[in-house]
Amino acid sequence: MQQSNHATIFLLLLTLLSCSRPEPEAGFYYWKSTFELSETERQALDTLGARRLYVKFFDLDVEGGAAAPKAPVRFPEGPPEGLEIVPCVFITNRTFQGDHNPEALAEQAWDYLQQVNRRYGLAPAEYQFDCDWSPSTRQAYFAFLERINRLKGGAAASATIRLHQYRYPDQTGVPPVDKGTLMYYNMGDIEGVQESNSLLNNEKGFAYLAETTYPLPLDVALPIFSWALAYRLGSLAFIINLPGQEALDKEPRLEKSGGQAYKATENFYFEGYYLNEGDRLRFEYPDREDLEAAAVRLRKIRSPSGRILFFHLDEPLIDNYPADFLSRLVGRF
Amino acid sequence: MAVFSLLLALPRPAYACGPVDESYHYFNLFVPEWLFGQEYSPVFYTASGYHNIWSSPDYSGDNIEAWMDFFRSDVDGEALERVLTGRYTENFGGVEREALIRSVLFKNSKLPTGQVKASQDYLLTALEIEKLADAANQPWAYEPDTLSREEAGALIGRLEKAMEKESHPFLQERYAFQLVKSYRHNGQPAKAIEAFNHYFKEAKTQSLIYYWALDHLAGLQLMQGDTARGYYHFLTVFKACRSRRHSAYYSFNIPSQKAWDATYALCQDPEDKALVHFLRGSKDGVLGLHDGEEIFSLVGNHEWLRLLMAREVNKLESLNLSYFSDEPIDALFGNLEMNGNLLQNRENAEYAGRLLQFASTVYYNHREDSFWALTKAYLELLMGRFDSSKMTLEDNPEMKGAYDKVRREIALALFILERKAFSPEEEGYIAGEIVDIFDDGQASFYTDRNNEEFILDLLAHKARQRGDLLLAGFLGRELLSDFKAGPRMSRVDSLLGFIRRPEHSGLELLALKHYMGNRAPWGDHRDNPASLLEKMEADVLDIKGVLLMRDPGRLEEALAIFEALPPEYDFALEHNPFNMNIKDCVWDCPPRTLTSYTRITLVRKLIEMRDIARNTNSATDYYLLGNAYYNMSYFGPAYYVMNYFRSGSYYSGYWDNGQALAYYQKALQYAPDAESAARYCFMAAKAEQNLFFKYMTENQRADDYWWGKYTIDDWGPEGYAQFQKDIKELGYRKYFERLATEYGDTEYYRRAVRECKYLEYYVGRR
Repeated sequence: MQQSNHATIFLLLLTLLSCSRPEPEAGFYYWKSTFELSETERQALDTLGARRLYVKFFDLDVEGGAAAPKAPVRFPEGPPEGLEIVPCVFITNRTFQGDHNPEALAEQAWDYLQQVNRRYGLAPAEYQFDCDWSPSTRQAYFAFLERINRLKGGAAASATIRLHQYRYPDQTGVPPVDKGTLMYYNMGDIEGVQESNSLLNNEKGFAYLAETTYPLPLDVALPIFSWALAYRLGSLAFIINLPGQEALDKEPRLEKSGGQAYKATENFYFEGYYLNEGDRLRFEYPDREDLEAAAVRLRKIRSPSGRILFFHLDEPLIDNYPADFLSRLVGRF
Repeated sequence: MAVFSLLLALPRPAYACGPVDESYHYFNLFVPEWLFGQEYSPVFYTASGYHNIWSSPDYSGDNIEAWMDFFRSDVDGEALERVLTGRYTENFGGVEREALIRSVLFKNSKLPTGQVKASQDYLLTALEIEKLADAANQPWAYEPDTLSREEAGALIGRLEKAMEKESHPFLQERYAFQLVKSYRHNGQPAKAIEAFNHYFKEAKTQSLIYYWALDHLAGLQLMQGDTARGYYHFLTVFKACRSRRHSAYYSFNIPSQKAWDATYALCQDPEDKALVHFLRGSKDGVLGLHDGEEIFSLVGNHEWLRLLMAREVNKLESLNLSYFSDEPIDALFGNLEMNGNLLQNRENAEYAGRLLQFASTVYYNHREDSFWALTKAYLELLMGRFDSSKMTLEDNPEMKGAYDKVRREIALALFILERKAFSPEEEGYIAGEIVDIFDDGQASFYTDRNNEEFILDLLAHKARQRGDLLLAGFLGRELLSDFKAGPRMSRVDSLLGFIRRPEHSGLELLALKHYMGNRAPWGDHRDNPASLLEKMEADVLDIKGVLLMRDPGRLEEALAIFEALPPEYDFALEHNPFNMNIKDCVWDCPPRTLTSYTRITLVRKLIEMRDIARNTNSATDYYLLGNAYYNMSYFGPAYYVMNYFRSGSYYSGYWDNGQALAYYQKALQYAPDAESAARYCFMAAKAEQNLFFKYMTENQRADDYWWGKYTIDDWGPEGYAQFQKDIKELGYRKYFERLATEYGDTEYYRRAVRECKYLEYYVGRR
């Protein structure tokens, strides 16, 4: 009986503790090069009370043997008022595979970020770096981040963390930053024609989350995008950004060969791409129930920061995942 | 997000996200450079996305030639080249182009003064305009430093005035081109188009500069949404102007059926229509078969069709025969066994089948064109239909030039694929074909399209399967010079066994020739290989002698080998290996130590000292022997006695100081006095430290930051302290400890502490 009482008190305490947990904060990634918020996008931000936007300022890639920024962001109407902008830099893994000095590269990247800040009068409190580092690039990427740390003054630096990096920090290393964002998507074999959904698969995803304590406070990012993966001669050829499956279903030159799978029966243009006879396409999107289950599960990861981010803010995607649904997800987190 | 970033920023095919291997290998038996001219090289298939963009000719000579005509060749040609292209030239590489225009270009020219002045004015203005168009050269500037709107406006104003004044039609046209370009880069597309229409649209003859301007117009039209005409003009530039072919080709990216239909409607004749198909079908990632069929129906067996088909065949080669790993051919034979063809999956096989079907149709309609016989035979080879492939080749024995070379390549590949082993005669035939087809009498075993390497890899695979690992290695492009960097005795004996075989086939000799790095004409060795074999045997015996020297007990064997070798194998030593300093020195050691030893006399001396030391327990001799083994190792100035190569970035060759330490220990054991003992003990500590480096290198964690060598040259204070901690904890400071404990009151110890920072650090923190 005594034990039972203790258990009740413990449960009550637990409930109280969980009730006192601060409301999770929602945010979005903004991944287009021209920053222009539509009314729908503004409304989504307002509904969710999102005050922070993770905006890709540029890609860092190799061109002609040299590392260079690509697709820099432009704010034709100036930066949005009332929103905190977190500049993001996407860095291709191959950038760190060449002979580029990572510290010098960090200085160039930092200088470039400051040029954008000066142009638009921004003073970010956080910068995020996104690179799917591998064992061969880890050292260079981390050296890059170390240099950023010495340049960033009072601002915070964060880095995206893939699931395998979250699961195996001893093997993959932990980036030297103030915090991370766990990217809970792209967990399947995107290269594989036979894969069912490489974008969001909780069976695979939860396995990565098992019993891990990550040494950095973590935001969590969930996908709300969809795409069609196009395979040619058995290999992934390109990715078509596609908010819905209707365009695929309506196309008579695509033969449906399964729930989300299609085969091109002739050569034709589709959404800006030239498909070839025999190409196989697979539409992938995050199922709403799966997203809800993921939010519930991600709430339990150790070292969470209490922030949930959605990738990414774009009107057609908000049409698929309306703000009230996203609010529900935030509530479950 | 990674994928999305590229997706949203750059709508282009996704590449595999795996690591990029710079040593990517691909094979082209079907060599486009052999079959076609360089003019269409942007269209050639390459496994590297950047290859065509950066390596293809830009035909800038066409513009230089036009200027030379205008100048009646009466200017400095080299200066003109630098002025027009900005390229580095031998004599004017570092000279500003403006200075060249003013002072060099027209020096001693007899051109009329007016023409010189007008040309100078134009060229100087063109240089100013480069600044306006220079944004692409400033990738790290968010807002590139080009001319301001006001400056650009003023420049354009001057340009217009200069053009009005100009009377030479040649310069007038170029001014007009600069005007189009300036408006474009100044963000005034409508004005640029207007300028083009005013100055070029009604041009009676279409010069080089007309097409350059048209290239700008096409880009402007795309920007303005006039896509059909934009694409059509790019098509025209591609067809008519090879010096802008790159630009036109990479700008021609039709995104929709609507744009395609509109562009197609502008094409008046079948050749233009065929060209649209050619450009689309040859785009990166596109399967070109459908467009090839269209070209065939429009213009028949046109060169564009052959180019497109060659691209598709090259694509199949690259996708299916290319490799990242060391053993590509194993996978190839695996496919052959599993699927009956050389293709990696069903999709590739299906596409190859469709290509073959089409190629066969054209082949039977154009028997006179060797290209289609080759295409058919090669696709049959890829599909594992070896008999059909052979028959196709046999039906077309009379090919000319490059076609015949490709025919022989395919025939050779078939010959090798069909056999498990080869008779000596067959190996002689193979060697002859390799030398002949690839024009490789020097046995360089290198071709920029890797086609010779493919044949060699096939042969290496067969040799490996037969258990002839040495020949497999030779055919796999191993080199004796590489082996010398880290020789092993077992391999030395195998090499000697191979060399001493009573007979060698032509293929074995060719492979040995490459292994040796021998670049003499093949004919010198094919019929009389004795000199090649003798040279190789001597080289390998030399290695054996050097390896034997590592063991003092086998110095006599080493000596016997060295004495038997031709005299040129002996050499004078530049350093006295018995000398020793407190600080290590490998290069330019001051003061330079003198010696009269050759390698042979040194080995004799080592034997003599070894015996004296053994028989008399002479500490001095043990110490000197220790010095010799230390100095002849990687860490000493006489490293070249025991090493053929010394890497600056990683430990190489003989770098084990175990033998040196053993001798120093003996010296210490028999030291006659404390001063001597202190000296021997310090040297033992040096050898011991090098053994620590060896341990650390051999036991480095695989994922540690790795520069190949455990070095402390550029460590900061923390790294240095960590090194001192590690070396002590792992038990590699025994002799420093002993030196400090037992010989701390010797003069040598005090001197060593002063000169050796390691020791100073150690004793300061004991």
